[in-house]
Amino acid sequence: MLSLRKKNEVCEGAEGLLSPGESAPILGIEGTAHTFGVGIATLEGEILSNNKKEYVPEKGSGIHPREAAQHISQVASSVINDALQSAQINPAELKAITFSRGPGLGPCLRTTASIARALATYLNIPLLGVNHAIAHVEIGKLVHHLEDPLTVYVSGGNTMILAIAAGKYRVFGETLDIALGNLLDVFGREVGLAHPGGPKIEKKARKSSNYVELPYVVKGTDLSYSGLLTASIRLIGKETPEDLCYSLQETAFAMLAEVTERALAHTRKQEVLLTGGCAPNRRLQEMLVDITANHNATFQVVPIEYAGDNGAMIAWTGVQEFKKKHFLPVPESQVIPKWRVDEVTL
Amino acid sequence: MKTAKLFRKGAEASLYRGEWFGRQAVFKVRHSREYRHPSLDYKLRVTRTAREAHIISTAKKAGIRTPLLFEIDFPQTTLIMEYVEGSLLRDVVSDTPRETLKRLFSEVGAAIGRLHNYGIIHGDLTTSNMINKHNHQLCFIDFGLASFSSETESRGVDLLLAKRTLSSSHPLVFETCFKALTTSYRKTVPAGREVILKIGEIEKRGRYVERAATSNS
Repeated sequence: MLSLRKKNEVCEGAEGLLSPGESAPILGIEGTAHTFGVGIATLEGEILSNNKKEYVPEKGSGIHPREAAQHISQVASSVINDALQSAQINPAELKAITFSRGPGLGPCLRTTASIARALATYLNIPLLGVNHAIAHVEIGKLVHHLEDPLTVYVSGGNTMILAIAAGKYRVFGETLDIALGNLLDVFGREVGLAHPGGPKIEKKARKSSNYVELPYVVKGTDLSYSGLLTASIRLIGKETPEDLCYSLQETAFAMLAEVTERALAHTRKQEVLLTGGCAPNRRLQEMLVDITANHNATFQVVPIEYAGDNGAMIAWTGVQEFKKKHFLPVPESQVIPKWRVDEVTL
Repeated sequence: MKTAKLFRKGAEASLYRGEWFGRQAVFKVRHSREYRHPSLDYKLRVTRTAREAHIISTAKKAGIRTPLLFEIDFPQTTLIMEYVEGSLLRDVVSDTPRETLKRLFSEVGAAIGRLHNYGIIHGDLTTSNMINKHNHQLCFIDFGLASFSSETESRGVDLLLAKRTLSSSHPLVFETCFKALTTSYRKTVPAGREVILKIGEIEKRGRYVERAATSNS
């Protein structure tokens, strides 16, 4: 168990909700896509548990929203139990339930929201809804003690560069079409690699250093991956899978590094955080290390257990909402599948 | 180049200030990026240097204030240009009264319109790329990502980038600035109305924008 915040920061803002000395565990439920995760965090920023189960699509196909939602309802109670047990918490001790309210796949969000509402109502404790993208940033800030990072959030469904400006998270660059993880997954599937394709592409790419020219599309602070995907798929059979994996990574990551550098030069932030399901990629990390060093900024990657979707990040972001008393009444707790970060009041 | 001093480190290039045959000059150097594969790196640097030079001279024809181009040094992927006095528009927005902002951003909109009329897509319309000269004249300093196109789609993307960066960099005056920009853009470009409508369409195509797009319309 790791203690990440100083004890005296504790109950600031939560007066009247707690008796002194109470640790106030908050349970967070993540369910925006293929991962169902449950985590428990305390007001002090201690992560007591972080359990998850992932839906793995059949070989040759991608995530089907309905099947992903069914997976959530199947595994929900066991993952919740696992999280309570590994944290050694009795449900009656929980102070609030947080869930990923968006953005994500509608069916998954609705199933997750129903579970969260049921728990909060049954336990008679407040419900809190948090933004999934912001949760990815917040968990990185907690773990690495960051103040005000520029965050590169890359996953199967998201590719964005975000930072706080004038009191809100704002997007300083993003994909105009598909996400980085989506690019890798679909290309992986086309060359016969099982889902998720990213790690397998990374492995294959290490065996090559032969760069095949592919479309490089950066538009100001945004980038576009769909043309790169089509072009790479067309070259299957004409070039070796290793060369293609290598060239795809080199091109896609260089595009991302360039827009990150642009955002960094523009915002002049001192810290860069890499988060999301694609964060563990070593080649991507190498490129970002290079650009951040160039701009005298520090670079951190979220630990692997918090890189992909997880419940701990939802719980920890919920803790901050709890301190601000941003409670969400059940009748108003509809999910927001296309929730942008700049629509969130901090 | 030996006496040149680094004064701005952009994302893509570094700017050095020095002298060129007795004139105050900026050396815009596209340094090699270590993280990029060498062949991709070289291709990007050379094509961008050549394209930028070409576009700066076309922008001059369109009546846009840009730095004068003195020399193109391909082996060093360097452009040598006139040094323009003034502050980055980004740095003056917050201290500028609303009425002046309106005037400034109508000038920005008209300038973008003239570029578009000449088939130039700027590609990086941020307030860090515009200099507000001391007499309130605007000068566009960076055409590093510009390209040639007269399609409504490309023009729309260009303005959408301007909208995004304005709203993230200057959220408090965004509405005022963007409205002044689009109003004068529409007056400058014959098919301006379609371009403005295209912005909304492109936004809706993007990720997670349904709500943002409807609340702005």
